[in-house]
Amino acid sequence: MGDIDDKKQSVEDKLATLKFICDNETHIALIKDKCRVCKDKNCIYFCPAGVYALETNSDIPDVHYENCLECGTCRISCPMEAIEWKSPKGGKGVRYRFG
Amino acid sequence: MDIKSDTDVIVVGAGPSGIACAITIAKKGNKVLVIEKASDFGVKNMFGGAVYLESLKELFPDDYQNLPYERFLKSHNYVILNDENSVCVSYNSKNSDSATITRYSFDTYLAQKAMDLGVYFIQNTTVEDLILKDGNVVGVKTENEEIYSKIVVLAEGFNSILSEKTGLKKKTEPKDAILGVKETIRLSCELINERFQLQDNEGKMFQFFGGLAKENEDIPFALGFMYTFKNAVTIGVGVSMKSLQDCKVKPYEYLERLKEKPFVKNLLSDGEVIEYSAHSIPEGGYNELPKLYSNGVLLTGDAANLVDSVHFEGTNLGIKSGIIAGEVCNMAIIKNDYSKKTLKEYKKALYKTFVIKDLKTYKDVIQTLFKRKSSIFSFYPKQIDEFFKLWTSASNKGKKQGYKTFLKEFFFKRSLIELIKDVISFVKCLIGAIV
Repeated sequence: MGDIDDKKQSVEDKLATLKFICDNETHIALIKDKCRVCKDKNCIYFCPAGVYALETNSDIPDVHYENCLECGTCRISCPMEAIEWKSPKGGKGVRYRFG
Repeated sequence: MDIKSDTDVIVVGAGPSGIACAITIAKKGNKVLVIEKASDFGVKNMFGGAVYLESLKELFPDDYQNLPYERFLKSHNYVILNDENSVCVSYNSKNSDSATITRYSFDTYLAQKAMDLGVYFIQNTTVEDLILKDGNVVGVKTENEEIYSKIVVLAEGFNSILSEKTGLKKKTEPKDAILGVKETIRLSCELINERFQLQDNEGKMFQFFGGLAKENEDIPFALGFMYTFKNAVTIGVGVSMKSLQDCKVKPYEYLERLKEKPFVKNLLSDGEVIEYSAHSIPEGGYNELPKLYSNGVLLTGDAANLVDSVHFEGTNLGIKSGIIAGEVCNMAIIKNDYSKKTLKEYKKALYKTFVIKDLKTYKDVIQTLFKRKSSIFSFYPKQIDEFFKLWTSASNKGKKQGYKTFLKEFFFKRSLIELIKDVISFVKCLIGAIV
């Protein structure tokens, strides 16, 4: 939680306001061959939870599935259709209190 | 068919559309089961903040006033933002046709009403697939079991994996989707009343145009919004997924920029961010309607792309489509026919309501405006700012000189061809809406 007058909130600050019921299995899989040849790596930008992060010297993003807000943006926006997204198992995932 | 049904109808998804459908079915004494993936109602749902009361009146004619409303919207404000300045148009009314709600309380209330009417719920359960037999949908496969029914209603929301699997809906393109990111900011009721000049149960909503792109960045197709609640204010941005691809700016970066605008910052000062959230919204409208029915299956609400994005109207369309789907299920049960032949009545009925009529009215508006996004969200906001600067300041050169310079600058910055394109787009939207 952060006071609004503090300096700009990072995505980590934002995610810290949320409640997740984390599954120990991922619900997001990447088709890595497609990621390897993807030039744009748009997933780094469009995901509102920063689920996709690129380590230096890597062609394939790390997937922080535990932060997923289940909005479906990646299903629609990945230009390579390289993201295989399933609904988390029943009861798992994000749990909004004030949606 | 020789399959034994466990229930008359299965509804996938316990949002407003699914519950409206289930209530309509249960009211006629038919058996209906709602399957919801979340542990509680409304916890996977998110929206800007307000519902229209119209469809709720139809669903709960006797007690629609008793729903867990936060504040009734009596003031609608349209704000043009520039770097530091803003221009605001307010419509303030005595009566109100809409109210802010939070999804956890609202959806839980709807579900409780449904339970009272005999609707069964299974929570904590994700539907993984539909069961097909001889080209008919005859049930669902959850992570735990197979459940059979005469009809399956897909009210699964915009992230509509099952609707796509059935082939009723094609994969959404980025141009037809908006990503909304929002923060709920806690402020005391007294502070909200004072800052927004409201009484306890009165609310305000704001839409923000422009001001989100930095110099040299592409202009996104994006709108800001803000709603007042009892003890909180929500602030958010809806950005076209196409713009997210093109502009390469993170969605929450736009939200941070909106919060930095003096107009917003002063209203939210001392507030505490209590929740961040994100959700996608269908934007394709009439041109991107999926097939609404097939043998043994119907699509409602966001799953059917039923959102009027011009008026920020989704819940209302979701509830209305749920009610109609429920009525068609009741009719099919009487006829004992669950094939396309009977279920096509859903589409027919829906086309006669405001749901499809409104979507048709605005069918080309979003895509037309998208093409003119730098006009709407950058060029004209700046011109309006320039005009008001002139209007509200004194100059020793005289007013006339000021206007002359303003007009000269306007036509210097805007080529005739761009101006014509703007006018054509505007007229196109207007004609589409009224003819």
